[in-house]
Parts: sequence; C-alpha cells; structure tokens
Amino acid sequence: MKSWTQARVDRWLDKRIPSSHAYQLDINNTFILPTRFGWAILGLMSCLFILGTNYQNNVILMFCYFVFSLLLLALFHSYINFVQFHIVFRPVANCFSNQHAQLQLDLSRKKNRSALYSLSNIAVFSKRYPVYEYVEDDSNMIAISLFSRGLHHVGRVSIESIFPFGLFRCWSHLTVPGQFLVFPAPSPCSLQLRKQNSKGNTGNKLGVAVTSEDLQGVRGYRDSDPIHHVSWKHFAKGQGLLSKDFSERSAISGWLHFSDYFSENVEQALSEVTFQILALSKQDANFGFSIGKQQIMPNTGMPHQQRCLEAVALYRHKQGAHAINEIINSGIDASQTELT
Amino acid sequence: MQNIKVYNRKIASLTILGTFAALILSLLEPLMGWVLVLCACSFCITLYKSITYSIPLKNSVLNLLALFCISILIWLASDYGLLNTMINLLVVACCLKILNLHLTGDYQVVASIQLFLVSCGLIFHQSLLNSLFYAFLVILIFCVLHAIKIKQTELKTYSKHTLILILQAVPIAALLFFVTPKLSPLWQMPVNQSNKTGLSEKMTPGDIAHLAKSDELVFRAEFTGLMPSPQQRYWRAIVLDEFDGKSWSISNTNNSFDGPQTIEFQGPALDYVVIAQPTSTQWLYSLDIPILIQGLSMQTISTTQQFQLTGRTPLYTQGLYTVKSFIEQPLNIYKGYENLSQYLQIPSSGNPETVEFVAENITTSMTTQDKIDRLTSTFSHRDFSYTLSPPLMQSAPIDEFLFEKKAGFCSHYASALTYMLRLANVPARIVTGYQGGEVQSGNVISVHQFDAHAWVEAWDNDKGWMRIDPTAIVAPNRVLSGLLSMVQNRQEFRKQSPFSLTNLKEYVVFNQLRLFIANIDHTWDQSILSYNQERQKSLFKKIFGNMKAVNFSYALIGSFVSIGLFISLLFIPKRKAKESDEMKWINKLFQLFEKQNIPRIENETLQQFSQRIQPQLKPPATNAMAFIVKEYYEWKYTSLRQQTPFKILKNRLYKHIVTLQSQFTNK
Repeated sequence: MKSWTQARVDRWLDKRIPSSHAYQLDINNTFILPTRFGWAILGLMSCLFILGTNYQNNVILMFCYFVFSLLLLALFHSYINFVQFHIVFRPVANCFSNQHAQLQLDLSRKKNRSALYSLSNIAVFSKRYPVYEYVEDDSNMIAISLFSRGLHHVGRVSIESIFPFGLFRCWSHLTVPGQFLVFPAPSPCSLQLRKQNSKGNTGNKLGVAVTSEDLQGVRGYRDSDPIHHVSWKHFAKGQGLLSKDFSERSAISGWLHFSDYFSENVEQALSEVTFQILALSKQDANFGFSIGKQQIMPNTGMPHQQRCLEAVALYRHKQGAHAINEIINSGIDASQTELT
Repeated sequence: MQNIKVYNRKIASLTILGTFAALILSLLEPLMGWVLVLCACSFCITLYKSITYSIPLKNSVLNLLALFCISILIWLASDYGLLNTMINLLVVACCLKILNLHLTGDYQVVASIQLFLVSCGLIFHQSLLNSLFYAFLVILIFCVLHAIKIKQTELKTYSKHTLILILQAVPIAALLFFVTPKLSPLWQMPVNQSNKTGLSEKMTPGDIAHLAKSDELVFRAEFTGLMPSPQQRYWRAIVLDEFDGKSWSISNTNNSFDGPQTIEFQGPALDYVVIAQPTSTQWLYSLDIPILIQGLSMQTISTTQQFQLTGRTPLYTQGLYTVKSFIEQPLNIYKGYENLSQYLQIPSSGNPETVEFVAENITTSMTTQDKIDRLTSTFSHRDFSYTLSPPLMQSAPIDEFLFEKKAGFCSHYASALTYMLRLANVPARIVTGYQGGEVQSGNVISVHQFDAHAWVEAWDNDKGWMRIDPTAIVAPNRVLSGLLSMVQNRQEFRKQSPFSLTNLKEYVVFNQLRLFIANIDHTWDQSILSYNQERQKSLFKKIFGNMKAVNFSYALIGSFVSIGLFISLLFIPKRKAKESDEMKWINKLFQLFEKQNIPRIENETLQQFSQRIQPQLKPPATNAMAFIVKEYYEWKYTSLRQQTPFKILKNRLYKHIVTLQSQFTNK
C-alpha cells in the first residue's frame, strides 16, 4: 500500500525524470541536500559563530568562516562531481526465484573531469530493495534481491554520491526500464512425460524417461550431470571428476503436462515443472508443454525452453498471458504497470 | 541502517586516534584527572582495535558507561565551572565514541566532536603557534572524513586531494573574516575559572618569586613615537594598601572620591597600544599616569584614582587597548582629595624588632624625604641579597627578612619598606605590576611573567606619590636590564624552566631566531587577534575613504561577488584537454577537404578517408594524399615517433598539403 503522498511524489518523479535506458546526470535529475553529518557541521558552524562572537575570539570566528566556505565549496564539488556521470541500464536478465535479479548498469564519466574527482564513489541503492552497492567504472552487475515468480520490473533505483567529506548528498532516482521474468526455482522430482501426441491431454503417461544408455566415453563433469554418471574409476585414479557420456540425445520426446504435477502447493508444482523443462532441454529432448489453457508445440533448443519457462512464470499471474506481448515490445514504458 | 562500507579504514582510524591524542594533550589544563585516565584507556583500546580488526563493542555497555560518566560530571560541575564541565563532557563523549569506530557514522560523530574540541582549545590558546597546530589537526580530521568515503587509495593521494579541497576554502574564509561585520558579544559566556599564573590581589612576600619562573607572555606594548627608558618601565597593575602582618591586600575602603575638575598634565606623553594576554585578575597594565584613549571591544575599562586601569572582569581572551601615559607628571593630581589615613594602616602587633628599629632611627622632626632616605639606606648599608628562591619566613616575616635572612625577592623588599614607612608615619603603599620588558623590532616591548615586580609608593606632601624601588638599591641590574641579566638569576631560572626558549638568550643565532618568532607572533596578535569593530571600520576607511552605510554595503556586495567569481573560476568546466599538435594538424587537413564539400564521416581515420575520397581527386592530389597518409602512419605507429618530433614531419608534409590546396583552387 502506498500512501497518497508517496504516490504523488512518484508521479512527480515520473514526470521530472522520465524512464530511459541511458541517463546523463545533470541539473534536471539531480537532487542535493546536506547529509545528516552536513547538518551537524552547519550546527557546529553556528555554534562556532556564537562562541567566537561571545568570547570575541577571532581565531574561532576564522574557523567558523573556514567551515562555512568549506561547506560552500563542498556543495559545488559535490554537484560537479555528480553530474560527470553517465549511466546506462542494460535490460535485466530473467532469473529464477532462488536467484538474485541482477541489475546491469554501465557507468562512464566525462573525460575532462578534474583529477580531484577520480576517487569519488557513487552508490546504487533502493528504497524497495536492501541494496547499497558502490558502482565501479564500466559495467556493473548488482544483485538487487530475490523476486517471487512472475513478471517484474525493477522500478526506481537511486544513485547517490556524498563526495567530498560526506557533507552533501547528491542523488537521483532513476527508473530502470523494461521488465523481466522470474521463473520458479527448479525443484528436483521424477519425470512424467506423455507420449507425443497432437492432442496433449489424451496421451498416455510414461514412467521414467527413456534412456538408451549407450556409453560414448567420458567428458568433463558439469554441475548438471547426475551423480551416478560420474566415472568414479577415473576419479579414483586422480583424474578429477569426469562424467560418463551417454548418447541419450534426442532419445526423449513427449508432452510435459503441468496437470501431472499439479498438487495443492501450486508453487511447488511449478518448481518441479521448471526443473523438468530445464532437464529436458539439457537432454535436448523434443517435448511439448501444456500448462493451463496454454499449449506449446514440441520443439527443442533454448528459445523453446524460454517459451516454456515464460509460460510457467506467468501461470495464473495477475497480468495474464497478454503480458508476454509486453515483454516482446519491451520498449514500452515499464513504469506504467504497477506490480506489487 | 545498512552497514555502509568504510574505505581506508586502518589509516583513517589511526589518524583520528592521533588527532584525538593531540587534542587531549593540548587541553590538559581543564580536564579532570579521571577523564585523563579514561582518555588513556580508550586510546590504548582503540589503538589495539585499529591494528587488529576486532568486533564492535556492545552499545548497551557504552551507553551505561556514558550515563555513569555524565552523572559524575554533573556531580562535579559546580566545582569546575560550566565551561570546563562542557569540555570534559565533550572529551568523555569522544573517548567513548572512539571505542566503536565501525561505521562511517561513527567516524563522522567523532570528527564533529573533535572539531568542537578544537574550538574549545582555541578559547584557551590563540597564539599563532597554537592556531597553526589546531589548523593542522583540522586538516587531518577532514583527511579522515575524505578517506572513509573514497576508493581505497594511498595516503599520499587522498591527503593531497584533501589539502587542495581545503586550500580552496582558505581565501573565501579570509575574505569573509575581514568583511563580515563584527558583532559585540551576544551574551555573557561562562568564563574559565582559570588557575593562570599572574599577579594576584593578595601578596605574601615570596609570591612573586614563583612568577619569575614563568616565561609566559603577559602583554606587548607597541609604541608610536617615544619609548620609555628602562628605568621608566614600571607597568602598574595592582595597588595593595592593607597589611595584616604577613600579606598585603586591597583594602575594602572606597577609593573613589571627587577629583579636581580639570587635570593638566605636564611633560611628554607616550602613546602606545597594549595587547594583553588573558589574565587572572581584572587589572590591566599601564605606565604612569595613564589616560585611556580606546578601550577593549568586549568590556569597558575604567581608570582608578590609584592610576590603574581596570576592567569589570578578568580578560578571558586577548584584549587590545590604547593608552597615553604622561610619564613625567608627578602623581599629585589628587592632592587634597585623597584620604591618606588608609595608607598608614598597620597591624596592631607583630614584627616587634622592626617597630623597635624604626623607632630608633626615625624622629618625628625629620622631613618625609629624610625618613625615606634613612629607611632605604638600610638596604644599602647591610648586606642584603636578591634571590629568586628566598628562604621561608613565617612567624614574623619582616623581622626575619630584615634582621636574619637578609635575602629576598622584590616583594620582600617592597613589603618591608612599606611597613617601615608606615611605622614612620609616612603614607605608603605597595604597587605590583611588571618592570622592564624586552624591546623587539624597535618599538614593541614584550613583558613576560618573569618581569613581575613590586615596588613602593610613599606620599610626600609636595611631590605626591613617589615611586621608591628598594630592589633597585640591592640589585640595580634588575631594573636596568631585567631579571635575567644576572648570571645567578639566569641559572636559577634555567633550573626552574629548563625548556624555555629564553634560556638560549646567550647564543646570538638562537636569540635572533627567538626574537624573529616573537615578532611574527606579535604581527599575528596585531592583525588577527585584535581585529575588532574599530579596526574593521578603519580598514574600510582606508579602502573606501569614508564610512558610509553605502560603502559598507558595497564592500559586502563586492566581497560576495568576488567569492562567486572565485568559485566559478574553480568550477567552470575546463576546456577540452589541450589538443596535441598532431590532432590540430589532422583536423586542419580535414577542414581543408570540408571546404571543398568533401566532409569526413564521423570517426573515420585518415586512411579510410583517403581511400573513400580517392575517386574524387585528380592524380597529383591523389599522390600527395597517399604520401601524406603513408608518412603520417609511418611516423605514428613506429619508433620514429620517439625520435622525431611532430614538427619535423609537419614541415616535410607541408609541400604536399600545398599541392592539395592548389588542386582545389585550380578547380
């Protein structure tokens, strides 16, 4: 629930700093105010003035004016340092719900900046996510947070710099454009495939996947390899982890039906289906996928896997299937769709 | 709150610890003993912690400790005074906070407290050296503030950056200092209950001797015109007129009375400005007879009828006042108005030997001058000696001094003589102040605590108050060339304060250096510490002619404009990095083609460009262009670049460029 003021502020911000892939920080999108420490130093300055005047102490007065001019200069330095940055947001990659969504941003600076600013730090943070990360020059990957299954957009992230001395805070609220899908976290289970059939729901259930285990040889171990494929002989000889390579490619084909996994815990079921989609894809299986009213014709390869996963991600999702269209035309302003 | 990363942690925590230690050492005086112990503890703990990264302390423990410390401070507040309590409170807060340097916020809190402590230190010490010391600490503190928020880097780099950032602030601060209107104190601040050395309002013989061991500066007087001769340099401060048998004090009798309507002063006048250091009494210093020309900015000075200058409270900060002294005028201007009986007061008993001695030597028929001569001759006839460490005289101090020990400091002599004069029915009083002083750069006299002196004034009906200095009879050098002129005194002085620069007086080089430092210090006092409303006005007068409100506002506006200009100078984006000769040359070449409507496509290299435009050129131009490209690339991408400067290449290619140009013009 957003309060009324927050909503107004958001609307104002949307108008003030429209969503874009690339931002040049400048006078239009930069806010600047003293930090808490800056206010404290302002307080110190007024105390110094009173102290210096009441004790008629010129050195204290001088100290006071020094602090004042330092604050004044820090204000300018802070701003000039901040507007030298240019920020480009890359589209956020789809991910699983057990992975942190990665915000990709490229940071560049104006070339003729002063050497004084070469050490300045700029940080990304957000009110919505527990993130506070310093950004390096060039490309950065920032883990934002875990998301639940579905279609998301990052929304607004803030960029701030308190260079120099932490007296002033320059910040800007930038909208990360585009949306991304979060797939359910894969959860291992046994495979249930139906025979390939043009009408998915009439097919017969198959037990375990068909695997013609013709041993082809050994290859380097991958994380996805099942543990019983590890060639322990080789491992015992000290040749590291190697997997037995079976020529089981294209051996599997059939229909994956979500209804076969359906249980009371829908999310768990979706996780299991996700696992199967990944597993089947890895085995290069030619499989179709049926979920709810949606059917995806049998196919192989990464695009197919993506389509299946998208269908899982958007299953019974508020925004429904039409959201897929939006992903395709992801140029549309993402900030309009409000997701909670 | 998130734990926001602290960069350069180790060096930052060590630096802030260093500034902490330096601040504590500079503020030793107002700190309580237990606070010092706390400081030492927290210093050690923090040092250990910043070297080995250890876990944060629990906040609840620290809060409990803080509560405990604050209650002790409040308990003791009435004894220590408000100002000292505040300083102790700040130090305690710093001690406790420094134990937990983990987040950036911790550093910022400690830094703010330390900046406040710097200003507290400046209340007590404002000399140039101290100011520089504190300026250094401030730079270090800002270094830390800078370091914790920038990328991990070397000490050298960020200290350089901090220094640049800070130095940019200095001209603005200086301008603001001179231009911003100086205000009078807004309200009375708690004054430091000082245990400063200095003259006191009660003198027991022997007291002044401890001042002789201090080389602290008391005041400087800058003369315009005539300087007083060494024998004339009696700086009057306090007049003591009540004797209780042991010590002298200021009587309670009201010393104000109606003086004559007009006073005419005779003789030459000395004009001088006194810059007085903070004092422990309200009495100020002047030569006889002072007329106040311009008082202090923070309080009014009044002239008493005992020819003194006095403020309402002790000076808590440096003060500057201008005085005119009629040095040859006899002190008889209040003749007939003064009640002289108070100067004949003697205790009813005590010092019997002295009473007897005076009775034997003085007869009522003698004139005042005779009596004085007779009594002072006591000191010249018997073998009295002058010493900085007089023996203790307790029961009947004057008897013991005159007839047994016969050794003492100026206060012993003054006390004994005044007592004897009063016994002989001559009104007399003790004046304490300073005698002598060191002449610097021709017209400045610096007076230190070791110049403290006491002398006698006796009333003669014709001449008024006459200054009699019994010390001058015993140790004439003391008056002529100062305390340290005597070898014996010098040795005693050295024994007492072995680190004083004054000890190096004998070595010419060091003495000159010492005087040089003293001169700089004086300039600092004159120009910065004593810059007040009047000086500001006169400065504006010098610049703008007269002091109208319009001019003043012009000055303010002008200074703001210049600050603005200065800032824009710093921040106006610098032009693109200077183009090298080479780039200029290439751009010129492209421009040449552009004039012929053969524009360059963005980011095209010279080679790509020449290939693209080849069909549009005539053969001689093509050849020239090909040669230029070949030569240029050969120069640029081989070792030739190091050997031959670009200028040579440019000259070589000049001919071909001319060929190109001629091609275009022929068209």
